[in-house]
Amino acid sequence: MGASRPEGDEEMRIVRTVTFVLLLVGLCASVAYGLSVGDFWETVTNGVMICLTCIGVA
Amino acid sequence: MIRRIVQSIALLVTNSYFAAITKASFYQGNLKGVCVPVLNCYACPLAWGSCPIGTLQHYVIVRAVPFYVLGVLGLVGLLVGRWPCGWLCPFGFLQELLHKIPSRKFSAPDWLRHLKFVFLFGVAGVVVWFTFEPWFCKLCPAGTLEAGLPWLWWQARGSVFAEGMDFTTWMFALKMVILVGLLLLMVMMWRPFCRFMCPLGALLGLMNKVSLLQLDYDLDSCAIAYAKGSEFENCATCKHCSLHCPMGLKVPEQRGSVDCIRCMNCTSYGSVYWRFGLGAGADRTGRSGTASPPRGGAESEPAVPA
Repeated sequence: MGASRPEGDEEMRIVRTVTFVLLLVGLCASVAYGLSVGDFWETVTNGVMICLTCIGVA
Repeated sequence: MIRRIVQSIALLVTNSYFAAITKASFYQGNLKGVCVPVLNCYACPLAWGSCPIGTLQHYVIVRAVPFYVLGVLGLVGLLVGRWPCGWLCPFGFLQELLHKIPSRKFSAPDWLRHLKFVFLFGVAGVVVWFTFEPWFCKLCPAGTLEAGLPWLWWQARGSVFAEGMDFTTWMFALKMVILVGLLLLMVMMWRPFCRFMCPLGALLGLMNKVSLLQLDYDLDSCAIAYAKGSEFENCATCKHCSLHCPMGLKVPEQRGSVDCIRCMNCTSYGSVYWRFGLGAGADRTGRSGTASPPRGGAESEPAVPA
């Protein structure tokens, strides 16, 4: 077989895992908070105004 | 082939409110609260969901933090990076179909790919902040194609929703110029909108480095190298994978960059392969003295060119 780098630097793997977990927790919290303050329904209703302006006719 | 099927299904799933055609209206139900991870205009009569870029601009206008939208986009990016661009986005699908039209093809300067961050933070961010208007939406060619033109047709049909709309404005003319110009570019160039303009692609691409879905590289499994044998020098001189990259990337060097849409075209030849995992990967850049038989790519057995 050809020359290869070590299969996964252990330190890098730990850094990536920690980064991934932090991002996952943070993003899930962001979605949860957004839903709790009504972002979902704001998207439903206010999208109408975006709709009209976005096609450049309002 | 599999990717084309998935793209077709995604196009239908995101744009299947066919009742809009008979009613000359558009869907305004609760599903509009779902931000699809692709560029699909809210105003498209057939669309069920919302465009995340339009929604983000709304929150910039009302001076609120878009927790929900950013969270959803972030989670999608964290799992698969920019994969929705390569497999789900209807506008990307259109660009690939138009590129199949026989014509003279052009490449573009590499620095132009940084423009999409100008569209993301500049046009869809700073400009919206100061003008209180969704300027990216106003200029978006996907919106013009999916919404502007259908609404013009709806008005001709006497739709009550289109009453009062004025399609003779300079704004609509500008949108048409942008759309027509881009459609022509799409014929002559690989995915110009995705590479140089799409703010959603820029946002998802930022997660490419940290996503679970990654692309790794094993030269010993390259079907091209195996077929060429001693005539194969290195990837830089071969360029076979790079020539089939719709984003104009140098494969394998740029396979994990923010511009990679994870279309998996480059995995067809065996050297690049996809995996889900958090490890640093097992990139193998060396070559054995004797080429070994290639292993399969992501979709099928690697294609050895004639």
